[in-house]
Amino acid sequence: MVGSPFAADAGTALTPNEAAAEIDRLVASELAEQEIVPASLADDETFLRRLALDVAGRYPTEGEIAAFALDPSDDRVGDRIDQLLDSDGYGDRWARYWTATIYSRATQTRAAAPNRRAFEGWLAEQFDAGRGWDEIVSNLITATGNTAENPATAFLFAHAGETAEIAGEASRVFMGIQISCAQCHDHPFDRWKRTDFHEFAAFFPRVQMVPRRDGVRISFEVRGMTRERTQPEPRQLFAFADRNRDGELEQSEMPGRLRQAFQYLSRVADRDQSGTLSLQEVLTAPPPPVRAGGAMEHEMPNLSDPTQPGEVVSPKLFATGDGLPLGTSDTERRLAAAAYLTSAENVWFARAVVNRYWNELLGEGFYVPVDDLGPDRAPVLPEVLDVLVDGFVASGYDLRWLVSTIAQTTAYRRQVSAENADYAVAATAGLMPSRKRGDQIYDSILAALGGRENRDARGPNPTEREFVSELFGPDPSIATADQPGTIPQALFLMNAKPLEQMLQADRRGGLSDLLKTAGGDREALSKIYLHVLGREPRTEEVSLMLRHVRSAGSRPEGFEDIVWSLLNSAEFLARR
Amino acid sequence: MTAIPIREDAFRIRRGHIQRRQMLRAVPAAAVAAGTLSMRQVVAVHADELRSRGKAMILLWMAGGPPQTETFDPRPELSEFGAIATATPGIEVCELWPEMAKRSDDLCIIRSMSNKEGEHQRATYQVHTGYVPSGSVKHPSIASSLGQQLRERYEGGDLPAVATIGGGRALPGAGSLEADYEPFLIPRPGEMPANIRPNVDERRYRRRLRLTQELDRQFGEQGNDRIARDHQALYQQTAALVTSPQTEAFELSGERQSVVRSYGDTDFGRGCLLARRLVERGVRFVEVVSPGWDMHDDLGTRMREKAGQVDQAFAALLRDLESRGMLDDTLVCWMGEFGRTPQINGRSGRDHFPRAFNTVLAGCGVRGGQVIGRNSRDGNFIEDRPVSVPDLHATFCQALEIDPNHEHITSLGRPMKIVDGGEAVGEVFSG
Repeated sequence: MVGSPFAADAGTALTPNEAAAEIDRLVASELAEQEIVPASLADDETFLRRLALDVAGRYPTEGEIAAFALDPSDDRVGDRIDQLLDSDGYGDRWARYWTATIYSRATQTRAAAPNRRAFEGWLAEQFDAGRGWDEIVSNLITATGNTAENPATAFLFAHAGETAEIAGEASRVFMGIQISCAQCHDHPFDRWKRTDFHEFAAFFPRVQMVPRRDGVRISFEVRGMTRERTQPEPRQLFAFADRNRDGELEQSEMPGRLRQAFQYLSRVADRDQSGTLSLQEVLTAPPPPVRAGGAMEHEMPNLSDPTQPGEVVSPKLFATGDGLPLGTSDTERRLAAAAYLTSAENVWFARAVVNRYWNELLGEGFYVPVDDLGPDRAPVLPEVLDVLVDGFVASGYDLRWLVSTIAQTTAYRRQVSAENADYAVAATAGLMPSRKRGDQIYDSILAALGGRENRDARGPNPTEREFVSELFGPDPSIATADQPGTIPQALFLMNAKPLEQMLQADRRGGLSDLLKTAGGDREALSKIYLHVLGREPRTEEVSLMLRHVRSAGSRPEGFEDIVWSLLNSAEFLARR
Repeated sequence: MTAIPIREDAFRIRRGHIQRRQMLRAVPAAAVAAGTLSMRQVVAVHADELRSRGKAMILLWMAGGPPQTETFDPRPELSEFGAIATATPGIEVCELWPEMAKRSDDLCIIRSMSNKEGEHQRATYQVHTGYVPSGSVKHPSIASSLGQQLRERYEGGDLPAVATIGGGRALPGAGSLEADYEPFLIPRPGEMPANIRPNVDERRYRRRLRLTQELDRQFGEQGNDRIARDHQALYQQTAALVTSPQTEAFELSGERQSVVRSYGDTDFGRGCLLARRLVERGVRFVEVVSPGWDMHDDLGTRMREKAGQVDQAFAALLRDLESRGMLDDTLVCWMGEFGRTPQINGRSGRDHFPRAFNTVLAGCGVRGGQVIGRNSRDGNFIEDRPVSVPDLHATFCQALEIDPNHEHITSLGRPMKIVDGGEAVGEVFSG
């Protein structure tokens, strides 16, 4: 039995402030060595806006901006980060990140979609409660019970409980290792081979999704298959084992437990000699001898002849070599998989999440793409990565520690710059230009137009946030730079009726109030810039915009045009 | 006028229509001798061909899985519906398809499609992409792959290269290809797509765009030049669409009433008509979705309704394409994600059956009036010439003169072929 190791060894952990200082030192010496002149620091307003968006998914209020500017404390950045990490937005913001990461690659989107909201809520609670990343991931891997009642089943459910998919995605998402390509063949450049993939998959063959009908609603129960199961009734056998629903059972579809029964049946019942079994053939076959289990193991398919039984492999984590004997139960396997995966010995577990957070905050990870790590990839700034990984592990996999540390580095405070984009260490010499993702864009729209989140969702219809997230994407595992904008996105921002209605100057509460209360056009313009872009207009923008107001059909029309143009600018969609 | 080197591609005009040699005869001998020819000369000589010719594909997608037995592989002994003769001696189709029966000389019916995926989501993915779904890779839909190849080859208009009419959210998109080839969704044919019309008059709209352009210019100067440039490129493309006279394509009111009526007063009929209008304006791949083919119960009633709609619209589309001289360059394919069981189930319906089903091809060099492959008398097995999904995709490629082995590079740096492992069905074209 594997113990529950979720206790921080707080004694050796650097504080975020100390770790950030150490990172600053390493980065400065690297930049000096390469003779790179980094971008200057962003001003307070830009920095606070960036921080609030990154940590808590929203723009700072005017009050927060003023308070930050006037705060005389030496540790005003750290204080501000702590406040944001404790604010309501933190859990939601990162829950959206991870939910999108997992669901973007779901192989069972239709069935699993209804659980998405519950899962996001559950994750937000975990983050708000400060649960360690190791504990959260362990929960995802060991979850059992009804998918409608236990949101932690979402990861397994999203992949229909399929052994190979669970293994491939657990490896990619939680370790940053793309080993699923090795499912079918050894890749000459990859260290880990087919056997490694299948040994990792061998932790999950007994994960089972059992359909449960509650009135009209269908849910699934995630549970472990046990060896005591009796021979299934033919129709059940088809419902369970005919995974591709072609009405034929094939050797390759059979889980290990049923292989021998299948081989027996093939001999006695395959009347058309097709090598596969139809329901009719199984129904009319003489009953097979009851076998006493012991074959619920993962088999690595025989490539030269897929109709032959594969090789039974025992569970082993390729990254650490930890394994289990054959015959262990589903519970033992998944507890062990979780424990091995999240152990300090498995460096890829911490590296993967550190790499993702660094990428999310600085615009480019140590490893690119963000989910392709491994011993054969060379990270940039490996010492910086080590400081973060060591500190993160010592903090007890505390995600707040990780966010706080990265946000306190000098690199994070720099202006956006592509000046040094040709260098591998560019992200530390200036924030890499990148785009916001959909849910951040939704928050920005609300802030820009003075709207409030409408959480209405009827049945399968998406909420406004889900609609915008879906429209703008992208999958957080894909760099936003690799996902250019689309025509429907531009059409939405240009012409969507609800947006135009929100920006109309005669709407109460929005632009009309702003125009009434502002002392003059100059002040109105400042407030608009603050809402839409989170900054003051520059001098040349003031003259451009005021000139526009004067030449427009009317003052309100002129300001409507200004809000529209800011909302449709590249800057509105960019992280800054 | 700058002379540019001749690119082979520029001449890959409608097959058999303009021969390269004929074309060269029409231009100055000096230019030929130098191996150069100005683009304007090419365009001037063959403007029409370059603009409106060029190949395209229309996929009529029967979402849910149409039964082969009540469509183009009739089995009166297994069905409540009989078979009728077609215009082609020796070929029969189910009696629910009288209009299509008249057009059989255009049709190549493949009765030996064979596949393994029998679950809607998986099969829809695999039939669209040629690959089984996997968490680690998002494969591009064949619509996007072919749309990209064709758009690169032929001149386009203001409209997107790939469009999907009706349904569409559940279908795979551009995957690992560029976002330019994400299918443009048109949920309700006959209505303008969402957000395509500006909320203010064109003069004010253009003033707004100019403000944005100026903001982007300044933003670009602050270390964001790539983002600003990409954004302006997208906005110019989108603004061109919004203000383009070509968006009248989405409105069917400009069509003659007799033409509109010929397609039928149904969403699918309007979708087929819209597909033709889009292809006419340079859209390279249009998928038209007909929902509701998952007939687990009461198949007879539902077949009468669905077949009635699709029979009329499909036949009207072929007639319309032909009368406009577009059928030679437009490949039309009718299919769903799988077929349905030859046996009727306990609820008077048929269940999923990927092992033996049918599809229909027409246009773009396809030899009509033929049947390929044979399903057994009891409908359970392919007896002759099984055709896989990759085979079918390779056949699309051959019709459209696209290299099925063309590889694009995924974000992980691994190459992915348009078609992996299939072989074109040569009989589709021969004869």
